Amino acid sequence: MILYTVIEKTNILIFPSSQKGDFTMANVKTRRGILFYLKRDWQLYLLLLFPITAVIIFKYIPLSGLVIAFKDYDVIKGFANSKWIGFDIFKEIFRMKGFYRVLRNTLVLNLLDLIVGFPAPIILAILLNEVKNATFKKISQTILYLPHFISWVIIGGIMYQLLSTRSGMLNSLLNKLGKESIPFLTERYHWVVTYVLVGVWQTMGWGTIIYLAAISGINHEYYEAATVDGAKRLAKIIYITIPCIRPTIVTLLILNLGRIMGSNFERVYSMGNPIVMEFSDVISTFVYNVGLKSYRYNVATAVGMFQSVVGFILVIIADRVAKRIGESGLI
Amino acid sequence: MMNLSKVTDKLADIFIYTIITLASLACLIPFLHVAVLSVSSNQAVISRKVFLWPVGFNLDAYITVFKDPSMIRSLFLTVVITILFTALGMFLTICSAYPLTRKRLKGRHALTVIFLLTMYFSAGIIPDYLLVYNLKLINTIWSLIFPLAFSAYNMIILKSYIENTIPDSLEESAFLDGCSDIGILIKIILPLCKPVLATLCLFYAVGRWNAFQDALYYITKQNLYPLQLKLNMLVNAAQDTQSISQEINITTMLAPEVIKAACIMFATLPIVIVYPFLQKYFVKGIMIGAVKG
Amino acid sequence: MKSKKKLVNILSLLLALFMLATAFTACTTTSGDKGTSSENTAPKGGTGKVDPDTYVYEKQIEIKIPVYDRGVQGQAPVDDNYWTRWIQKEFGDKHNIKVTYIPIPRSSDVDKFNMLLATNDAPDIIFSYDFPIAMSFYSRGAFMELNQDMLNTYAPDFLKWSGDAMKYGVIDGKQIFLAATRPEAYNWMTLIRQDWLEKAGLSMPKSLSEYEDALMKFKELKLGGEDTIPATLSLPSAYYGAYAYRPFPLPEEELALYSDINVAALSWEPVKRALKDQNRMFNKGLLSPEFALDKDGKQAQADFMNGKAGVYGFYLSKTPPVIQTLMQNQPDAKLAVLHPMAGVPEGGYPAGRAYWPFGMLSGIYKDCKNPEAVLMFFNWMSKPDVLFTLQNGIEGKTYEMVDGLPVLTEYSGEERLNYNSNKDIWCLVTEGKYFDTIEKTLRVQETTYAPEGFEYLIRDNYNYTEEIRKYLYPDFLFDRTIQSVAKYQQTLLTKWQEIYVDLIMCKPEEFDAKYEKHLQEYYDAGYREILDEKLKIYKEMTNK
Repeated sequence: MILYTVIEKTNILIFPSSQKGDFTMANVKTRRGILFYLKRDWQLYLLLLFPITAVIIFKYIPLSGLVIAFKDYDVIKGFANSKWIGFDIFKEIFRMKGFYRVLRNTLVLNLLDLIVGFPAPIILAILLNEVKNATFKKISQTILYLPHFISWVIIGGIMYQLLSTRSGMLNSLLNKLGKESIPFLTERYHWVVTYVLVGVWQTMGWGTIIYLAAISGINHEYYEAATVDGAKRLAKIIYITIPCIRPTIVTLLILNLGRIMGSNFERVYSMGNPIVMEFSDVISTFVYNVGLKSYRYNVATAVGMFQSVVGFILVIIADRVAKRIGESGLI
Repeated sequence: MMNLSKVTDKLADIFIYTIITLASLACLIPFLHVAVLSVSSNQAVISRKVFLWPVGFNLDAYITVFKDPSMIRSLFLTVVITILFTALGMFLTICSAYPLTRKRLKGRHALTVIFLLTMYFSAGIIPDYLLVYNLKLINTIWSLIFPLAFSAYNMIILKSYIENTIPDSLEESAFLDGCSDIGILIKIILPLCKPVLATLCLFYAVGRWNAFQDALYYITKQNLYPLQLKLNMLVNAAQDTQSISQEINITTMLAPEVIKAACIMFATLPIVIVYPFLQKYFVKGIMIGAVKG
Repeated sequence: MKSKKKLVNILSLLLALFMLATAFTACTTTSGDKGTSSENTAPKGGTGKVDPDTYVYEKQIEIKIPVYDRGVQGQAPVDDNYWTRWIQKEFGDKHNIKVTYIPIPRSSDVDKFNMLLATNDAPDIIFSYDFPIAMSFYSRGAFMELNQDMLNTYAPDFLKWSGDAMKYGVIDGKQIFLAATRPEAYNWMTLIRQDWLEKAGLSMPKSLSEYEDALMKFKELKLGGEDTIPATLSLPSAYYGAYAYRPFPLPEEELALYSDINVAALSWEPVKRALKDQNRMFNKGLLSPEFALDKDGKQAQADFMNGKAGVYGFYLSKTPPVIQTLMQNQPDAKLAVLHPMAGVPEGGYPAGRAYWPFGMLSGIYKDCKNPEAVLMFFNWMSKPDVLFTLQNGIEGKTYEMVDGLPVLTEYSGEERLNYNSNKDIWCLVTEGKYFDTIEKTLRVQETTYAPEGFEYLIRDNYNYTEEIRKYLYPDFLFDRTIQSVAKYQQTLLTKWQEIYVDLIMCKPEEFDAKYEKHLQEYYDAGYREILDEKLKIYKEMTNK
């Protein structure tokens, strides 16, 4: 009974009605001119002017540089004078034997990250929320997001000291206990697991911040009403906390899906080594080797474009799906 | 009955505290490692003898770093840049997120897509550099503030938060009271968004503090180097010895490892300290003038 | 409330105006603002009449010189310090030239140059230590040709100084680069633990089999502790010479095709044999077991310093304190330079790479307004007294004369020398310090590179080098760009490292099959193209 009321209340808040003031006559289909809307909502448009200007200048103007991907670009000649080669660069990239390995690795590693790494901060945030001791909560929160500040170069070094097969601390410990060393970093499949787990460890603390913010926005009255109705702690989590942060979860999920074609260069570069190259060669290292370090900027731009297009399409699709299941989506 | 629930409650508490403690310890280790490195003797450090406990304790590295006026200057500069950047970023984010949550706004969807596109598409370092150069922002702190100030990611977060937690009925009653759009924004929306605003401030501040790739190309005057750039040059200086060239090498490493560790601590601690101050905004909020039923 | 709203509105308006203003600037500025066509400020009065030492410009001109910025902690800004000011005073002011230094981050120097080129704002010279990179700038048209008259007029001293090195700056028949000289340095050495040899009852190994026996003994006797590493190994760069396995003398075509520091010659027979031997040694446990994780050589260094390793190759230097730390950890350690024949298999020669006699290559930017001023700058810097001051500083402060030779002190005042004795300033003209006798050179190198008590290492290394002098030869120098090298160099490097690791770590019986498989992959990744292009260009060059 209470649960029903709670859910009902939640639904009302999450799916509010959508008209301003007295223009609720949704059935009246009047076509008004632009001036009408400008006059009515001029303050909103004024506010929008700033970010739009910023975006046009600093994002869209440089986007004209995407033309590099279609040219035999040379910095000295500039955009205009470099020869147009159309899709040749794209063809070259897709013909490269190494490219498909790169694609496979990128997708697999990112999916694993998503499956393992996405829920972790959510769970952690919920657990943190349950902590009653304020000091403990504050201290642990601060500690939990420390890894976010350490650059991957340093984490890589630490991981080697910790996990290397012969001299790593963890394996030394295992050996002392009579067990065999585990090739955390030197065997391909082990490496993938290590890579994903270390990634989770680095981001989970930082990820809790947004979820904690969302949780702190939940109306106390729900919890009070639930207590009155005799709900236990776990029930409160399942039926109040999680549904209330569902929109946040969905939003972040969609945004992260858009990054499925990307990869963090520093992370792979620091944690990878030639032994596991078969699995550690990803799009960002590909761009680094073939594009940037060879100073072939058109390759780097072309691959970047490819990543952007795929990511963006995925976001649109995910957004549609989200709307289907009742969320408000991004757009 | 009551006792059983108390027991399970306590067990749950223990479970939660244990998990969080373990997670915290795991997260503390690398930081501790770097901290310990920074107070050990350099020889112990390069012999890889130091892990979680200082060997040859001394504070020389810190003395060197603090005596270096360029480090201190860089620290202040970075703080200024971070504050300006966060202020501008928050301003732009609020200005874009709020109007887009008003369903009556014509062009709402198109604008959202326009903003969203900027998150995925970028033409690379050369076009960005050309723009900053043409705007005459090279070697000014503005090159580190303007280009990246607007984050579509943050905007989406704020927009979603407003859409999902603030009912339109609040807006309606405010209009009835004669409030304007901007007024609603300031008086009603923003106070209710405190947790998310605090979060985004943190995202902006930390994002700017940690990033250095843009400064690497935009800033050549050494007295304008932000802290992370100095750090990156220091730490990565030795990395690129992959090729043999005609250059005669005198050393393969430029800075003693301890100095690097001390610089890392120096560059990281300030921002780590910011979070506790923003903590108070994360306390459970209460809906003002909530709509009943 | 109303005033707050007003404040917000005003601030927003100001911000908006500011942004619009910058937007307008963007529209009106065009990149490539080369409207100021060189108002010819060059010295008038035909060639041969201008004295590069005393010419003074009527109107002050500016030259922009790049300088590496290595992010060295505690150093004064590379573009504004005592020495840049000294240069302005001694050179710039005398000729009415403003010398502006442009910092270039060492780790991303090519990107930085590219960006400066993209905005048509390049410095007056573009330089690189790396021959293919310098060539790539040339092939894209970044440089102007230096005609002989100009060089003779404005940089006669520099020409004399650089001597032979300048011929390496001739590309496609044109003098493009100003080449710095490169004296020989003796600080790269491979050391072996002499005390371990004594404990094992062995003398210095002089052949590969003796060397392997010594390593086996090191391991058996556990001279470095439980996990002794007889010889260190790190992840290699593309430079895998396999010199000891090459035929001697080496036919020039093979030299051109396969001896290249930028691309590992996987298909070459000497390389295959060298890899096979290393595979054997690795499987016997004679090399660093985790070399594949050691990307920067730091693990090998640590192993040596901890006394675990018996053989270690590195650049001898005072910092990082490798030897000093070793002596602290192992006070009984004794070090000797490994004999050059130690790695040589039966029938092989102690061959090695001789560096080309040039250091930095600088090309003058094609749109440079005052190339003659740049030449005068080089000319001035190559004068012995100028160079001496730049390299050593001020007597009594930054150096002391000891036995007629300058010895650098640990001076930390304002006049202190920048990183590596101001090297990034004078690298334009030379890579090191010259003295008239080899004895002096050695002594200076000893004081520069060797920690106290270990100066003999430099001398021993020198002696060995002289013994094998006749077996040292430089790589073939192509006088035009090899496009495929520039294109595939980096991908082949990572591929090479992947292959190398697999070939060294696999079981000996698997070696041949894996070698064939990997060779195919290597060919497909661009190596085939490189070989074809090199052959073609080589034939063109030698048939002229």
